[in-house]
Amino acid sequence: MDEIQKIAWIDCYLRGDLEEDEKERFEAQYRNDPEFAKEVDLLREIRDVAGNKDLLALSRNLKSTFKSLDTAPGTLKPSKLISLPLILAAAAAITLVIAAVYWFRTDPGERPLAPVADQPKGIQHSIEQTSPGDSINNPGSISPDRPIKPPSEKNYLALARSYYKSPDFPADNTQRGNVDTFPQSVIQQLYQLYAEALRIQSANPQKASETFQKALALSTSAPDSVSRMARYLSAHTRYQLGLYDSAARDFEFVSKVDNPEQNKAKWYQALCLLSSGSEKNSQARKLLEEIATGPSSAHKSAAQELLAKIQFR
Amino acid sequence: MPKKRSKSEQNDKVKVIPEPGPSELVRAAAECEPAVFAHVLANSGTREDAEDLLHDAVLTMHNLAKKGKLNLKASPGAYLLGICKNEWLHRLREKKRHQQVTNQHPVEYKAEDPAEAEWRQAELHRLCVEKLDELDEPCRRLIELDCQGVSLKEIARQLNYSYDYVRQKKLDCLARLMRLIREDKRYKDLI
Repeated sequence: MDEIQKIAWIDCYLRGDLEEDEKERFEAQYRNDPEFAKEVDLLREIRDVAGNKDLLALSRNLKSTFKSLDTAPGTLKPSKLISLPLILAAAAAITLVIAAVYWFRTDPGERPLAPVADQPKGIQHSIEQTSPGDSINNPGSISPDRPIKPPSEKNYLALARSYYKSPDFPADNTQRGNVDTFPQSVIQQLYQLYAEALRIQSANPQKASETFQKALALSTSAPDSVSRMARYLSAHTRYQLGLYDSAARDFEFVSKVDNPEQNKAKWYQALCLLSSGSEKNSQARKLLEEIATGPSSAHKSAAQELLAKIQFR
Repeated sequence: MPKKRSKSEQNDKVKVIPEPGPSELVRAAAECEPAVFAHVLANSGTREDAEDLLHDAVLTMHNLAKKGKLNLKASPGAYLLGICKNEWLHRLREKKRHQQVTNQHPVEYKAEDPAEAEWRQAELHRLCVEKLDELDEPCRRLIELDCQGVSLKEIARQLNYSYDYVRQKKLDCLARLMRLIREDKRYKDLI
């Protein structure tokens, strides 16, 4: 019996689809063959886990909570006991970085790469097009005198951000005919927090960042009945905070279910993937191609335009 | 002289804390995360250890709540913190014990404590979800829908595949998932 046939047999048993004599044969093998028994137990666990929506959602929510708490600016980090070897290693690393920067500065042809990926670091000075979100992520951290290497060919962070336009969420969600209801609606609170953060973004990026954080914490605790809209809002909040990977996941979730924001979510997911780093570029390209060649939509021409820029950069 | 309350009267006065749902558990995890991390990092652990520990603790609480075995006397956050601290020290002791003693009598250390069994199950659940998320989306969806009781015919319609293709693909995906789990070194410690 090959692996696939074995799995099919185990699956049938676990679903209760085996005839009586076959079931006895199965159970005899389970008793006599420890390796076979492990396979059965494993598949049983897989079925229990994959079949348990609550557990899946809980586990995935936890992962994204940890990630957002880990990478978001302004998060309180636990104090660590730092050992002496670690301090020395850190000091050596810092010395090397300073030496490298000094070496690069003296050679006009060489400049350090600007950081990309899911860390909220700005690259304001080498890129002409910036968006308000960048200043939240790293206010004042890049000094005008520090030389910044122009982005590599595959760095599309600034390009993607230049195409990002935050939706205008209404303060009162009942206008949208939203069926999500909850006492002092969670969605309404989310809208208010998000709108407030957007409003003060230019004037007070630090406060805006804190407000986005509150919105994010609230959206990840939203009950299931409001989860679709909450996920959409949470996705935009994460984007604003520079958490492109987790924003992409939230947009993907929204794009897969039937709801008013489904098509827009796909577009934003593509922007997130493009912002995440070169390893996600092909996925972003694929999504943009789907939008660009698909039925008429709000972002079809923008997708075509963006695709052309990516191909020729 | 005030009358001394009987034990049952005292118990009646104890505030009953309702069992936390998934969203409360996530919130509790976020609240106690700094304290858990501080404890683990101060006791020979890494950030990854702390995340795994907290993740397992939440799943353990969730499983206990589902079975009606969760007896909360404090807020979910405080309970989480307590069990994380205990479990971390237990894991450290186990690690130390395995380093000091060779595997001559592996059966001796097999968990018989029911609380420990819950923890082991939570770790295995976490591993399963992690590996499930490593599969490509069609595989992941297929497995989830099938395990959630959706018929293969309906799955084929949702994923836009033929019925025969879905039937074969499901087995391929399960085989891949089982292989991913088996090849993870954590799995050997859990079985």
